[in-house]
Amino acid sequence: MSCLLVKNADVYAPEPLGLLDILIINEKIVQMAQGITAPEYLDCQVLDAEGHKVVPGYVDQHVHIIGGGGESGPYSRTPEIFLSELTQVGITTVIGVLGTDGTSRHNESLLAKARGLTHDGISAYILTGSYEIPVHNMTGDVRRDIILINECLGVGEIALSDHRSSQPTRAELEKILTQSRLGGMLSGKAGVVQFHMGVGKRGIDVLFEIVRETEIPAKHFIPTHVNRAFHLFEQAKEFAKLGGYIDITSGIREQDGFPACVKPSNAIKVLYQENIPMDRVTMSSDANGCMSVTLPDGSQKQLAVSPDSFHEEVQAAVLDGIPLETVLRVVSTNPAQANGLYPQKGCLCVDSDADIIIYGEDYAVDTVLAKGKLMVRNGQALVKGTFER
Amino acid sequence: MIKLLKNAEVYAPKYLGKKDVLVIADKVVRIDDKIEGYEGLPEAEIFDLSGKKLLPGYIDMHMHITGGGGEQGPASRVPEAMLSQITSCGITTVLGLLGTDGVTRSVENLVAKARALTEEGITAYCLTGAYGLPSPTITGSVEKDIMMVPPIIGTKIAVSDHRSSNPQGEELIAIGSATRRGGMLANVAGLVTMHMGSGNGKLDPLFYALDNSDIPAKNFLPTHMLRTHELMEEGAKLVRRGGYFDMTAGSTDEEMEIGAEKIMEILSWEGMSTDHLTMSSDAFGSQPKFNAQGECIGLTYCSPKYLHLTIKSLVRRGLPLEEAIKLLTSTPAEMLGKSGVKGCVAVGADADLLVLDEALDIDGLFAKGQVAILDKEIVLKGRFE
Repeated sequence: MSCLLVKNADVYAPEPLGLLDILIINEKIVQMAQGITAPEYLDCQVLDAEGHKVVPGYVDQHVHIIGGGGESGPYSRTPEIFLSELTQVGITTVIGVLGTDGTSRHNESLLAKARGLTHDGISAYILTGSYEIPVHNMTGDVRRDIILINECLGVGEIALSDHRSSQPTRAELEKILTQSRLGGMLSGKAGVVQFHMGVGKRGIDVLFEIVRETEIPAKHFIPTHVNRAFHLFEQAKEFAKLGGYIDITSGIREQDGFPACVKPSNAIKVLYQENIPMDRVTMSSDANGCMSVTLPDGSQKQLAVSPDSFHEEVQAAVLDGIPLETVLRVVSTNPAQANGLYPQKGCLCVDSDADIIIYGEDYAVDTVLAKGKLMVRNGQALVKGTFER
Repeated sequence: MIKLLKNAEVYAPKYLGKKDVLVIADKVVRIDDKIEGYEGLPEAEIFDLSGKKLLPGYIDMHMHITGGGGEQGPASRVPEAMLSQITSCGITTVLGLLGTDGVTRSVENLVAKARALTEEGITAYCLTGAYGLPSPTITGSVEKDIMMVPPIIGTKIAVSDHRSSNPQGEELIAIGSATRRGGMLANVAGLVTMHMGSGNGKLDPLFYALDNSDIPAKNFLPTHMLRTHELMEEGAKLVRRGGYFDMTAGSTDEEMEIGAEKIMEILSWEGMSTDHLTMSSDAFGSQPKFNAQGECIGLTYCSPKYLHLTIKSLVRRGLPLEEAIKLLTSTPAEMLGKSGVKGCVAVGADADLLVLDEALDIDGLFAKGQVAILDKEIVLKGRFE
């Protein structure tokens, strides 16, 4: 049994709750109140958070945990992620996805990696499938995967409006959405479908059609990379108004080789200022995916995305004047809700998992707890993955 | 959140004497002569167990949680288990499996039911496969099922039975090695539970597998071993080679007493010990009766209550309680790969705790720290009970 008491926390749950103590036993928050004294018999470790903001751990719903890429042949396959790369930037929950390559990468390995990360301390889930249609799966079809595999929360990332997609038809997409929804229902999960959005001119046209003309609820749709092009970003605003989720990619920035994108922190700001329903907005990192960027001479350049962008963009958004509470919803509460993980994840409240970030100066990640376990202290990872140096 | 169980005679299963046991959330966190300082704390519940015995919750290694049977057609399919039917018998951990019917009963169904029982409060594992070969699976192979789909921890197969596919040594080696490999890669037990019939082959396929492969005996658990005296003797040979076997408690009071007598007999044999024997209920599986022509002439189904009744009978016959309960606690936990977590009263173990009164009747039960039975009243119920 482990016991941890965070004293004098300036709690953002994500809503600001003022100064509180947080008592954690094993994996859960069991009490949040003022003046909790650690019961002697519990042998509690005390962390004094005086003067620090304390917020929910980030939920990153789009990470290539076993790597991705491969678009320039085998040498361009990006590596697997290490535990501390995630925890050091405050990510305590990840959803692993495959990408372009559904041939040399498999859902089975994705699942095994997710279980490894969970064993090491954070919480990892997966989506079944890759860019392609028919959707790759483990047990015969995606509905079965969602029902039978605990960690499988939905389908993704299915590529749309991208030269690497299978050019899926509306009927094909409807079938996938329905299978995911039903699988989710029968297993008590969200049953979402994440769509990798390319820069193709059709954007998310087909998703609008499906939401407007069928009875499939908009909450099952999560188009991601919506900040990669201006036309896409405009469409995303409308899509959020219809009740769909829109996912900003923190790794899509000018310095990462995307000159025509909307900077992620700026995307949050614009959506906030334009009164787009902020409970529909999420951000993910696309970490360890490969960004294939076209250079002026027409050649392709490969970039492996780092999860660092995730926290950098959170910091930038808050320092740019967006309320902390709003930004936290985008990176914690909303992705947890979208994927059916709320309130176990995505908030600081009694009975939630003790996934907690203590900020240092300027919202830097100072301390991270994942399921009650101290993972990062003073910005340094205390816990490393099994084979991490 | 915090439960203090005071003044209980603790059987870990080894007798520890009179102790206080502290439970926080779902775990036992302290066992001591006297644990003080909790009275009056708003979040602490105190249970005075003076005069009572506290032992690990029972583990049932063979339960048809989705129902079994069907040997006389659809009307003979046994209904599925309800949570309180299990807990009322002192059971907090079950291994669910399929039986004769691997067509209208599926591994998917079994997995869903196991997860439901676990959500409701106890702990349920299950096996892929059924009686026949090729094994029905979820993903196409038993190895992949064990690796990908918790809470699957192994494979079921029938051997030396007219309802089996008559698997021989080589087939058992194939299924044993796939199960062992899957178990390793998923870090679970990798157990092959062998339904033993009364066929002439007896344990021959298993001895063949042990002689002609590198699979350890511990990966196999033949069950229904009290069925014939010959099987009991074969089982004894297996134990002497380091193996284990499982015995089914009866499905009537009379059968239960006969079973207890047979267990006493086995324990009197050289090299036999409760460290290598387990007992299970076969609950919600049918107990068909066949005539000499192999025709089913009637059937009933097993209740899990005969596990505890057998323990009482064994104690009446002179077996110490701490020995008898190993059949349902530490030894099955070993087979499940859950020693130290299940089947014991120990610091760090799951708080699956059974309370017996002075007459050795079930008085209370905690399942993962949750009160399931209190003062002989069932407190915890399944969703549709």
